[in-house]
This record gives sequence, C-alpha cells and structure tokens, in this order.
Amino acid sequence: MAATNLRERRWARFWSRYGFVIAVLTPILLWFCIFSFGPILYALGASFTNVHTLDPSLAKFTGLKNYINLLDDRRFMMSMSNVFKFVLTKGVLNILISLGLALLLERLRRGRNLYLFFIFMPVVISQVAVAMLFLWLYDPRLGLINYLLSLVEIPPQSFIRSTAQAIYSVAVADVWKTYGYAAVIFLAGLLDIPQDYYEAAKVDGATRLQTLWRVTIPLLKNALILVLVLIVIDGVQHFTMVQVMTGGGPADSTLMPSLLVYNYGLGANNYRMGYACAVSFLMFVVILTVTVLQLRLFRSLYD
Amino acid sequence: MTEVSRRPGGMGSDSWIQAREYLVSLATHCILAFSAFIAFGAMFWMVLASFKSASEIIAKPPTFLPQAPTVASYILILSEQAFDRYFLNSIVVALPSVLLILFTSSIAGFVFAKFEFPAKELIFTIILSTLMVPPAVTLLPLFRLVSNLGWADTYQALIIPVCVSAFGIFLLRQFMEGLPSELLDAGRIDGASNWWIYRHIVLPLSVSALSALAIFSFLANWDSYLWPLVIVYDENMRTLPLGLAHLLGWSSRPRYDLFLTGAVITVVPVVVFYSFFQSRFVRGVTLTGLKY
Repeated sequence: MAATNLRERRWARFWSRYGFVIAVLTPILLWFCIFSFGPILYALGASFTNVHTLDPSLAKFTGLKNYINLLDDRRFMMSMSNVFKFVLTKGVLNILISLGLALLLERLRRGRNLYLFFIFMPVVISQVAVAMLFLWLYDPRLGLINYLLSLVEIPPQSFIRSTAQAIYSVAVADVWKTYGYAAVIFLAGLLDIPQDYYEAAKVDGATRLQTLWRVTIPLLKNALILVLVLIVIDGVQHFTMVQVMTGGGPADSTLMPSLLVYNYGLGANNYRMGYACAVSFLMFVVILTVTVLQLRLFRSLYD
Repeated sequence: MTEVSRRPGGMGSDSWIQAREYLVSLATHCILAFSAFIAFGAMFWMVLASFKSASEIIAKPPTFLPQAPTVASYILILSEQAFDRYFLNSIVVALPSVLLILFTSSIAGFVFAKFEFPAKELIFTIILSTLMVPPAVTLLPLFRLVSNLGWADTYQALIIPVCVSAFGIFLLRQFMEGLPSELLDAGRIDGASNWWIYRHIVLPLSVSALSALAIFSFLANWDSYLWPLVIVYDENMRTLPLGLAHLLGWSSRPRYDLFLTGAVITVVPVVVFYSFFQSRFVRGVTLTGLKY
C-alpha cells in the first residue's frame, strides 16, 4: 500500500516536472526522425549500395564503389569546377557590391530607408521569377542587355547560350537577387560600430582607406563571417536558377552538384539512387569542410 | 585682431571642405540611386512588359511604356495555363506551412529556453546539426518515403515535410532565453498551466521573432521549387514556381510575354506585402541573420 503510494507520488512529481516537455518534444522529435534524421541516414546507407530509385528490392551493398567511381566521373568533376566558379563569382561580386552600398548607406543621414526599400526588393522575389526575367534580359537577339551593349558598340554576347559565359551569367543573376540581403547585414554591423573608434582613428591621422582596412573591416568581422558562410552554403547547394535558366547546359557548363543529384536520382534512364546519394554526401562534405575552414581562417586572422 | 586675421584662411578651407562634403554626398546619392534603379528598374520594366503585346516585347529598339497597353498575355496565361489554380495552390501550401512552423518553433523554442531536462543540449545540438545538411541529401529518401505514403500530388506532400524548422526552433529559443523568467514564475505561482503561460505570456512577448520567422518561412515556401518539382506530376497540383518553369517548354520559341506575365503574377503579391511591412522584413534579416 505504502509502496504504491510512493510510486504514484513519484510518478506525479515526474509528470508535473517533465510532462509538458515530453508532450511537446515527442511529436517534434518524431517528425525529425521521419523527415530529417531518417532520410539523412537512409541516404548515407544508400550511398554504399547500387539501389534503384523506383525499385529498391534488387539493391546490393557495393562498399565505396560509388565514391570511387565519382572521382572518375567527368560530369561530377565538371559540376565541382562549375560550382567553384559560381561561388567565387557570387562571393566576390556580392561582397564588393553589398559592402560598398552598406558603407554608403551608413553615411546617410536621411533617405536610408528609401534606398534600402529598393535595394532589398529583389531579395523577396521568387528565384524562378528572377530566372525568367534574366532569360529575357540575356536573350542574345531580343534581350535588353545586348541592346544596351549595341548602343556602346560592343558586339552581342551569347551569355547563357555560350559554354564560356553561362556560369558567370547565372551567377550575376543570382547576385542581383541576393546582394540586398548581405547589404542589410553589413549595414547593421556598421551601425553597431561605436563612433569613438572612428574619432580615435582620425586623431591618429589615419586616411579613409586605412580606417576602412584597420578599423571598419575587423570590427565587421561577425557580419563578414556570416555573409561568407551563407554565400558558400547557398552557392554549393544552388539548384533553382540554374535548372530553370540553363538546365545545366550548354554542354554541362553550368551543371551543379544538386542538379546532378536530381539527374542521376530521378532522370529518365538513370534512377541511380545510390550513386546520386554519394554525390549529395560529397556535397555535404565540401560544405562542411569549407565552412569550418572559413571559421578557422577568420579566427586566426582577427584574434 | 588675431581672430580677424585668421578668418580669411579659415573661411577658405571651410568652404573647400564644405564643397568637398557636398560633392561626396552627391556622389553617394548618385551611386545609391543607380543601385536602387538596377534593383527596382528591372522589376518595374517587367511589370510594364506584361502589359505589352507579344510582338512589342521583342521589338527593337525596346519600348519602355507599353505603346498599346493590353492584358492579352494575362488572358492567355489564365486560360491556357491555369495560373489562377497555381496561385491558389501556392497559397494553400504556404499558409498552413508557415502557421505550423510558427507553432512548432515557438513551443519547442519555449521548452528548450525555459525548461531543464536530461539530454537537453544533446537533443538541441542534434536538431541544429540538421541545418548543415544540404536538402539534396534528403531529396531522394524523402521522395521515396512520401511516394510510398501515397502522398504524391497531394497538398500534405508539400506541407508536412516542411512544417517543422530546425532554424525556427533555434531562433525562438535564442529569443525566448532573453525573456525574464520572473514573468513565467509569477504565472506559475498563480497556478497557471505551462500551456497557459505559453499562450498568454510567452507568445505575445515573442511577436518580433515570430514575425521575422513568418516572413522568411513564407518567402522560402513561396519560392520553393526543388521539392515540388520532384513530388508533383499533376498539372492541377502545380505551385506558382512550377507553373512558371513549365512555361519554358510550352512552345518551341521562348514566349517572353508569358514568362514575364507569369513572373509578375508570382511576384506582385509578395512585393505588395513587402511594401507594407518593409521595416519588418529588413529587421528580420538582422534578427535571423546576426544571431546565427
């Protein structure tokens, strides 16, 4: 009798302490198991097999074969070099433009919000719509950009129809959509810098460029890390605009790793789920490595 | 005397500095206005172009204002391509997704911020680590899972796999940790349940974080392309981005009139929404971004 009473009391205490936590976290963790952890582990397992996307019954364990084959896969190597060009172009342009604009916006006393309103607007637009807009702007014969070039006597370019220019053209379209986001982050970082630092630099006779390089940029460290990390993560995963604008072409010159996952895993005559999952895991490893390297680099530079 | 004799020189350098300041500020405004024009002009031109005829859009030299304004491309796109249906689908998918994300993120954020329980940090870290995994990794397993559930071409296929957000949980936890615990304790002493405290104290105090999360999860959902592309086959289940992308294959020649009109239909509701809540959008970036 006393024992059951004690057990009941303990149970009641346990429930009053953790009941709410359990009631909330059980469904949420269940969701993560089904729609996140589960699929991630499944993909990892599948990457060591030759499983077919639509018919998994014949799957055989093949060890590291998929990963070894990928190193010989011309399309995979192409997608890696493309994504490198894409991220580099996007990163350099995005940071130069957004940091420049943020520095200008910071100096303004009035009208800052009005400019921000326009500069941020492309951020809210759907990527597919941006892709449509740039398909039109880039059209070699009918597009606005070649018309404007013809006004200054520059011969028409083929942009996304040429293997040499396509990846950079898509990167520029992506920069148009995203620089407003980075500009807002940089502006917030700039406005957080106390004015005293600038006055101290002025007293020491620092030029504008010295102040920018020695005071502003180091104090903007957190915003810079954030923007760089986001650019790499977004860039390596990029899918939508490339898929809509070029579909990976011409001649695989804009093929990206996530496009390859889509093509290998779900493309007609392919359905090589195991192989596609290996591509996706290599992507993951690249993102992880570059992000960790970036954080390390920044720490060693400024601490 | 000394004052006066110093003055002319001082005057001269003062006005020189003033003139320079003026020039610098003029240049600043010019550059900013140009960048605003690049950002906004292309979009504005797109809206104008949607009211041009198919032949005027590709005319040389390009026209700025529509010479003979027409809604022909809107009529064509609505009659031939069911963009009204796509629009509806996008809404029917986006609204429940965002509401569910807000609910799950806030209640889980509350639990992680204000409760102590075994393995709390471990569970939180595991949830957070899924943010590092690119969506391409889970794409194929999710495709198999959702197809096996028989959910292909259904709304739940587009809602359920995105209705919990690791980032949202993280964001709300960060935010709610800043809420004073005394407020919650006061509620507890009065005998209020955890649910009541969540509903009447925690939620109202978290509006700024919730609205930032609402804005960005809505944008992500409205923009979502890869997942619908994989799981939707039925024309009637297409969302706006899918419908828009399908215009590409509709005719052998690029129909820029339809591309741009479809893009305008996709973009305008978001831009109108943005125009009303601009400061919240911009504040949302710093709230969600800088606290990473």
